[in-house]
Amino acid sequence: MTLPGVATGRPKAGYDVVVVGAGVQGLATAYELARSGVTNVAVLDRSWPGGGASGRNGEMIRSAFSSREWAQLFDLSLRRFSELSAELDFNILFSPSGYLVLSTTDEELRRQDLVAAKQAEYGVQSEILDAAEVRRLVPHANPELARGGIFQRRAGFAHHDAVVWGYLRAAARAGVSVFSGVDVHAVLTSGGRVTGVRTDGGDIAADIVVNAAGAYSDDLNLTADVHLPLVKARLEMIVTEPVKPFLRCAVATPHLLGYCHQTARGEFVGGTELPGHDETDSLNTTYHMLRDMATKWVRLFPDLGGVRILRNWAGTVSQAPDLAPVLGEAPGVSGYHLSIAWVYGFMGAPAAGRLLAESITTGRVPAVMAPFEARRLIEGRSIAESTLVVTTDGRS
Amino acid sequence: MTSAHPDEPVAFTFEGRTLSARPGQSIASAILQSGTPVLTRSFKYRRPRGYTCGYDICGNCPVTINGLPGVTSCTTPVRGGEVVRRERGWPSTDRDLLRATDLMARFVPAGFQFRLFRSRPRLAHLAEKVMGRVAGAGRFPTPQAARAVRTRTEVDAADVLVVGGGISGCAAALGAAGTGASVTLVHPGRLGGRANARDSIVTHDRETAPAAEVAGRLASAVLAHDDIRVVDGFVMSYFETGMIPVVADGLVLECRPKHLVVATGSYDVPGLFPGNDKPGVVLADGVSKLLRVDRVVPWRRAVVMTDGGRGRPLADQLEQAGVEVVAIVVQRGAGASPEPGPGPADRQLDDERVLLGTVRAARGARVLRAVDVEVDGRVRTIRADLLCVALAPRPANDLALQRQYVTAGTTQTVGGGWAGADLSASTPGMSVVGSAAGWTSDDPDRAHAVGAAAGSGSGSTQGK
Ligand SMILES: Cc1cc2nc3c(=O)[nH]c(=O)nc-3n(C[C@H](O)[C@H](O)[C@H](O)COP(=O)(O)OP(=O)(O)OC[C@H]3O[C@@H](n4cnc5c(N)ncnc54)[C@H](O)[C@@H]3O)c2cc1C
Ligand code: FES
Repeated sequence: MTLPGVATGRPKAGYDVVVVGAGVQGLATAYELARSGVTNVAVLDRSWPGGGASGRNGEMIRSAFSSREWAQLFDLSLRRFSELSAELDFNILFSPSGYLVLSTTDEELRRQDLVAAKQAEYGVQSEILDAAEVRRLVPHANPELARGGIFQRRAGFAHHDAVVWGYLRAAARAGVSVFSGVDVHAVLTSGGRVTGVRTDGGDIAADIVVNAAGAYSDDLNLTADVHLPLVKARLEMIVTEPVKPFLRCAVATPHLLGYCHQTARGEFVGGTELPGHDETDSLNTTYHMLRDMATKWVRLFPDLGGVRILRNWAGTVSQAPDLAPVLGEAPGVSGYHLSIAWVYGFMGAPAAGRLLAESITTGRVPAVMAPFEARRLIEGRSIAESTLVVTTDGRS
Repeated sequence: MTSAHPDEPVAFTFEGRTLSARPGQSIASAILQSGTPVLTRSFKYRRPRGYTCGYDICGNCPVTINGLPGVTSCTTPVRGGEVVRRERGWPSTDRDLLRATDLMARFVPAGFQFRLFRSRPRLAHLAEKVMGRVAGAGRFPTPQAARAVRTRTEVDAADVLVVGGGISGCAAALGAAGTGASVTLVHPGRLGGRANARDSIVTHDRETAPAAEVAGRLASAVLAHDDIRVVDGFVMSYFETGMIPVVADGLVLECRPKHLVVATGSYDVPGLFPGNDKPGVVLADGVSKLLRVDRVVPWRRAVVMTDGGRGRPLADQLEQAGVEVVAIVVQRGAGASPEPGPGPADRQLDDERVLLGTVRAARGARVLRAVDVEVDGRVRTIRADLLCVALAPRPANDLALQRQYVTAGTTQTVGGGWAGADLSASTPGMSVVGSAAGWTSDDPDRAHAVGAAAGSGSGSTQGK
C-alpha cells in the first residue's frame, strides 16, 4: 500500500530540484518550493514518507526559547502551525494547549525570570509561573518537582503523521513527485557545483539538491566532500494505555531530560534521555531507556504508577555540537542546500521549509535563517540555547 | 478469603453482585457463567466486545480488578474477594448511549478526524477535546492497585531460558535441564498451555495418550525438577545485548541466557466476516479452554466454522458439554488444517451437520443471535448463540522474529527482509520448538532433543 501523494513509477532523468529525504523537512521544503512556482521537484526517500524521525517524535511545538536565534525561527514556525490545517486542506490536529518548561531545580528557578525577560524582548510571549501556579496548571505533577516554570500559552503539539501526510498531499497536488524506495548513494558534484544525485536506480540530474536526510545527512554530505561535525543520536519514547485526561499542555523538564504530553485519546506520550548521547543509527529500543522513562515519568506524575506502557520506539537524528539546525547552502558546493542537524525538527519544519525555499528561489538568505548557516560550525561559532531537553555530551 | 479446600467455591464482587466461582477459574469465565456476555466496548465505535480468544491475545476482555484498570479477565484466575467491574460505556457497558458512534459509522469513517474542521482551528481544538472524552479515556489505577503491581528487579542467571510452558516448552526445559544446564521456564498461568484443553493423541516416550494427559505429566516433571525455575509471567521483549526481561508477580527478572528456547505456541486466527467481533463469536482454543479448563458452558446452540480438521473435535467437545451443534461450516476450497484432528475436511462429509459453505455474517444487535451461512449461492440464517471459529492456527513466533530483527540491527529500510526468516532450525543462541516453529503436531520427544542440544550448547555441562 502506498500513501496518497506518493508517486508511482520511477523518477525521471532530471529535475530542477532533487530533495533527499521525505521527512517533514524535505516535504515542507518541496511544498514551499512548489508554492513559489518551482514544481519540477522530486523528493526521494529510501523508506516511506515519515518513516524517519518525523513519524517517531514527541510532536511538541514551542517558540519560547532563551536565544534570539531559536526564538525567532521557531516563532515563525509556530505561527505557520496555526494556519497549516487550512492551507494544506488537512487537519494536522494542532493543539495549542500550551507548552510548559518546568523548573525543578534552584538553578532553573533562579534563571526563569531572566529567560522570560529575554523572550519578551524577542517578541515571544511567555508567562513565569511560581510553584502554586504550576500546580494549578499541572495538578498531577509531583509537587517536589513542580516548583516553577515558563509557560507559552499558544504553543502545544500536533499529530506528526498528519503533518507529514498534509505536506505530502499538498506538495503532490502542486506538482511535486515524491518517491518511496529510492536510495540515494551520493550527491554528484563537478567544479564546486552540484550536478545531481546517484541512486540505486541510476543517476538523476539536478542543479539544486537539498539534503534533508535526517540522521543520515552527514553520510550524504561526505559524498559531496562537505565536512561538518555532526553525530547520529538515538532517542526513545513510550506511549501508555489511555488514562483520564490529566495533562492539558505539553511539558518539558530539562532537568529530568524529558518531554511529554497527553493525546486526545488519553494516551500519555513521553521521551527521556540520559546524559551523553546514544551514538547509533539503530532503531532498536533499549531496556535501560525503557526503565529510565518509566522511572522518571512515574516520579513526575505519581498517578501513572501501575499504568501499562503500550508501545515504545526509537528514532534517530543528527546533531551539531550546539544542537542547533544547519540551514542553507553548503560551504564549497553551490546548489547543494542543507536542512539538517535537526533535534527539534518537527516544530521547526514549517519555518525551515519556507525559509529554505525562499533562499533557493531568490538567492537571498532571509535574516531569520542566516545564523543557522553551516559556516558557524566551520568557524567554531555556536548558538547558545539554554532551554533544550537534549544532552550535548559536554562538547558545546 | 481464599478457600481452604482447593475446589471449594470462592466469591467475588462483580458490579455490586456476588458471584461464585471455582478457585483458579478465570474471571471472564465466571462473568460469562453469570449471564453477562458483554465485557467491554471498543474504543472508538463503542461496539460490544466479549470473550474471544481465552489466551490474552485479542484484547476484548479487559476489566477493572481491585482498582487496577485494563486487566485481562480471560487469563486472570479468581482467587476470592476481588472487586470487579467493567470499564467502558455510559450509563453501563450493556447499554452504552455512545453506541450512536457505531450506528453513525457510515458518516464517521476511519481517519475522519483529519478531514474535520481543517479551516476552523478553534472548532478543531474543541472537537478534539470532546472526542477525547467520548472515546472514553480510561482511569488511573487506585494508589493501592498501583502499589500492588509494583515490581522489584532481580537478575536471573539461568543458562537456558525457555519461553512458553506448553507440551513443547516443558519437554524442551526437561531436555535442557537433563544436560546439567540451569533452566528458567516462563509461562503465564498453569503449565501445559493450550494442550490442557485438547483431546488429540500425543506420542511421548513410545506411549500414546491424550494431549492434556501428556501436558499434565510433563508439567509435573518440570515442577519437580530442581534445576528448572518456573516463573508465572511473560516476556516483555527481546532487547539489544540479549536482555530478555520477564514480568512476573511483583518481579521483573532480567534474563540474559546463553540460549533462548522459544516455545510460544500458536494463535487462533479470527474469521473474516461482518460481525466477527460480536460477543458469542469465539476462537476454537478459547472455546476448549472455557469447557475443559474453566469448566463453564455459557452456550446452548453452536455453529462451528472450520477450514480443515479442527471442526469435528470442537463439535465433539461442545456436544459432550451439552451444547447442541447445529452446523459445522467447512469453508470451501480450504485445505486440511495442520492441527491434529480426525483428518481433512472431506472426511467429515458423512456428518449431517456439515455444510460446505462460507460464513457470511454474525448477526445480533448486541450479542450473537444467528449466523448467515452461504451454501451453493443461497444464504441461510442459522440461529445460534456461539460461533466457534476453528481455522488453521498461526505460529506465535513474535519473540523469535523480534530476536532476529534486533540482532540484525534495525536501520530504516523498506521491507527489511526479516519477516520471511526461517525459524524452524536453531540459530546460534536460539531454538524454536512446537507450533511456534510451525510443527503441525505435538512432538515432545523432538522438543526434548532440541532442549538437550540447547542445554549442552550453553556451555554449562562441564563439571556436572
Ligand atoms: C524520539 C524523538 C522525539 C522527538 N521529539 C521532538 C519534538 O517533540 N519536537 C520536535 O520538534 N522534534 C522532535 N524530535 C526531532 C524531530 O523528529 C526531527 O528533528 C525531525 O523529524 C527531522 O525531520 P527530517 O525530515 O529532517 O528527518 P527524518 O524524518 O528522519 O527524514 C529523513 C528521511 O531521509 C531518508 N533518507 C536518509 N538518507 C537517505 C538516502 N541516502 N537516500 C534516500 N533517503 C534517505 C530517510 O529514509 C528519512 O525518511 C524528536 C525526535 C525523536 C527521534
Ligand atoms: S484477551 Fe481475553 S478473550 Fe482475548
